[in-house]
Amino acid sequence: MSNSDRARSQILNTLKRQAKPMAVDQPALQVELQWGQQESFQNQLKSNGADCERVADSVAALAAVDALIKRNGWHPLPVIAPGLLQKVQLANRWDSIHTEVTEAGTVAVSEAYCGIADTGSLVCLSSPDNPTSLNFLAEHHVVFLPGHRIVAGKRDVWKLMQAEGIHTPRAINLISGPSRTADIEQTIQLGAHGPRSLTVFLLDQLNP
Amino acid sequence: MKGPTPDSFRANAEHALQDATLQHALGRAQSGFVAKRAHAIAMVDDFEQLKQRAQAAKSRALANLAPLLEQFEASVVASGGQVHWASTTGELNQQVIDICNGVGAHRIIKGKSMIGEEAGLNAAMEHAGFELVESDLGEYIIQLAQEPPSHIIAPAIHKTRQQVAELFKQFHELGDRGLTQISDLVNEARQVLRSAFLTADVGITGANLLIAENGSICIVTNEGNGDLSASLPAVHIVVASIEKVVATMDDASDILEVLARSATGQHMSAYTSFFNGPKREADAGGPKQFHIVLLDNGRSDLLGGPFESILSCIKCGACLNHCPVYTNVGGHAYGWVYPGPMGSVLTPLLQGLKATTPLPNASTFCGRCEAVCPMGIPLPQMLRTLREQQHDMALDNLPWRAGLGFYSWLSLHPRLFNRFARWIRMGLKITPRWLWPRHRQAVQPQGTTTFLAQWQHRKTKT
Amino acid sequence: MQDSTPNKTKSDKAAPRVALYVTCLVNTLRPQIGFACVQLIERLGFRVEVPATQTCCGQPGYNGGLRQQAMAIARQQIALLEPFDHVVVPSGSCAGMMINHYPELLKQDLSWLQRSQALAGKTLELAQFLDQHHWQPDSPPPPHHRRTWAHHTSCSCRRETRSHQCAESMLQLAGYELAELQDQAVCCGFGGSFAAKFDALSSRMGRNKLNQVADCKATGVVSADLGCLLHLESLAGMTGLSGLAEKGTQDFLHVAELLAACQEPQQSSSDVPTS
Ligand code: SF4
Repeated sequence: MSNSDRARSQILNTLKRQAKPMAVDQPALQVELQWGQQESFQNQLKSNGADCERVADSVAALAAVDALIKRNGWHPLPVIAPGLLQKVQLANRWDSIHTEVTEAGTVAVSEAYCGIADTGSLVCLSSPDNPTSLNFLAEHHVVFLPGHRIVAGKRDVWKLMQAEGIHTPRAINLISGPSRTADIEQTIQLGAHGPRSLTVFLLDQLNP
Repeated sequence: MKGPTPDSFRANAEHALQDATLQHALGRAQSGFVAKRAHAIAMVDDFEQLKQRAQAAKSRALANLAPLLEQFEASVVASGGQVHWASTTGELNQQVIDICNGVGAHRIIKGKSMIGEEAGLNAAMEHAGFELVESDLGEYIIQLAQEPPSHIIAPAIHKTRQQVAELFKQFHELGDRGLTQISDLVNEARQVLRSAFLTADVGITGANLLIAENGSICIVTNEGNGDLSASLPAVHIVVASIEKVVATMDDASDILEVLARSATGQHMSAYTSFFNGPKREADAGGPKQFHIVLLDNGRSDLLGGPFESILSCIKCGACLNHCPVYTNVGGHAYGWVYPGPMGSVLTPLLQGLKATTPLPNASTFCGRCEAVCPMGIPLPQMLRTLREQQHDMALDNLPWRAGLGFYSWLSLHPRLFNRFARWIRMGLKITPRWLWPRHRQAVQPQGTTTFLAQWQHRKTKT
Repeated sequence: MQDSTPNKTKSDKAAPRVALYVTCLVNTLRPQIGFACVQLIERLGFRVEVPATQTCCGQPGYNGGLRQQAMAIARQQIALLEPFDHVVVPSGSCAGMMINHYPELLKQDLSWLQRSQALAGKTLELAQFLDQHHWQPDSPPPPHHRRTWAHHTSCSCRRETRSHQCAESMLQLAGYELAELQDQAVCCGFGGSFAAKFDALSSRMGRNKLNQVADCKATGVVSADLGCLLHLESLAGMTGLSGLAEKGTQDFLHVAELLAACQEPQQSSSDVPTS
């Protein structure tokens, strides 16, 4: 018997012995999936230090990304998540496109599964199409989210995933703002380890 | 080097009160946390309801801890991960070391983990020859300083920017770059730690929650360091204590509603992530191995007893931020990894009452901790119960024990009690100045005699 | 509650009986607070009685881990106080002990539990009692009390009896000017035996409070708990913060004293033997 096994039976036995079975009230289940308001999503997200803008489609969004890059002097070539790259029309906007963050100062563009209105959070599911590292390694993070995919609260995310038959992926990242730290003198600094900025485009539709 | 211990709290506290740099750092911190939390709570319609839901989720979990842990284990295994169990912190450290040795690892990147702190994991790993780097900025700072954390969510809250700059100067190759701004310091750490992330063989993180229904672990951070530690290295090891398990993603959601609001005053931290098993076959990134080491360290004994609800603690830190003792002396005075009210309860329970006697006594019972605790943990009552246990074990100091015993006995004998009250009045009048604490003025009784004596006197007159 | 409000005649034998539980600190150190309480409650038309065998609510032992002794004290005080219609306590701390902690202490014994709950149901902190029975001042604050007061809401009034707002509104009703004291919810550092066991820490907390009193330009401190007042007063003397007001006037007063000062003295059982 390994140490782990011994510890396992010891812990579980103690717990079973000590546990006081008690009647636990199950909360009233709210069965229906609740959708959320775009406006509240936007407000919350902004209060977390992110930018959020509504655009017509991915063409407009990509043009906006380009403008952002130029305006801020960011790395000229964005990294685009493979899944997104397949769906959108790049219209030769950039000559070469990476799908992996290799250089410092890159801008990563990825797609969120849905948004949460209550807290202004993006829900990003990891997949071959949407690697987790894109969300954290880039200097600036741009996220596309179809504007109609905003649910009310966290519980609704799990309902939506269930309804759409999505199995638990390796990573579910709820992203509610750019990376930040207040570890030195309680002063908030953006860009601790992850992206220094987070820009969300709410798309009315994917392609024109 | 022997640092402060729980047993020397009184001296630690006095030392802390004299430390001007520490006082400066603490003064800044306190108001920030309190105001941010108040604001976050004012922003929601009904925080009490959110609290109740979170508490209900946790009570359900505690009532079913064993079956939930078994379910969690099965779910983790089903998603391709491995679960290890540890009764003691020594076992936890050994298991982590064994896993690392098993994969031939050398460099370790670590996300913040209070269980890691509790177990002294860093020291154990360094002793075993691993190169370990903390990635949470605050943890990184105190790792350089070789100090324990002084706050459960802001480990380096006791450090000023000048002290951090000094540390970086000492340990980084800065050349003649001077780091004066906080933004410079954060950027410097970002650069140095980025390469540590990219070259690490193993990532170790803690977990805020374990979800039984699907075997996910939840990590909440603002920096994103936990996510990088969990995603970049080939092996991800999670260290967590057994009471972190909840039944469902819904229950986890309910607890998350109160966590960030109580902790940093955000409605959500920047990153709340659920990790589930190793990378899927087609995934481009993610660890190839996923391990969870579950630690008991005495927690299972607390279930079903008077201290059960301390297992509901979600380590938000609100009780620290609102504690008049913590905010005046900081975390190191408590002598171990858990400070403030939750620490004064948990430390004696995990380390024994004998070595921690001052902690339960270091409270005015002002009750603010309980008032702000999102999990409704009756911290003052628990401290009182610990005092009762100390008394039963004769751990309280003799003069106090005798004094309180005598006063309680007097309280049962009204005539003597009142005579005694009159003696006290006399005594106070004649007590020489030097018998009073230096910085206090003697309290003088007023009036001719006690209230009861005056009242009696008047009654008999009429 | 309304039906128990008596006619305003103190001699009325049918008037509801109020037991005044003065607390050990008031009894020993500031008897005039007790007399102020009597005046205030009698003005509302109640018959005030002071059970002669009252001692201490048992809190020192209870908070010091002496549970058995605290239980014995609790039972004795309950037996003493239960014949009365109301029990009034000029301290959030002692009132909170009776209201919240006696039932906790005696929860194992059903009959005592019920008796403790009955007592809890008729026990009120002074300001709460005055508020519920619509106390009114007769006159504005006397000249020597006309200044800006910092109201220190004790932690027990705030979190045990939840009556800190009653004191605030009573003081305002009486015409007192209250300063905007910052961090009112923060403890002053008294905490009973805490002040002795951790003297340096307790003093620091008290001085923080006094600094805030000075910051808000108050020249006196009023509180519903004598423990806090004595603690602060003993520190103020040594920090150069005393003498906030002119000489000869006291800086640290109980809510009862300030309120009673706005009431015409009555020829009553409360004739204060001058001190
Ligand atoms: S005891 Fe309550 S307030 Fe303190 S850290 Fe735990 S959950 Fe937060």
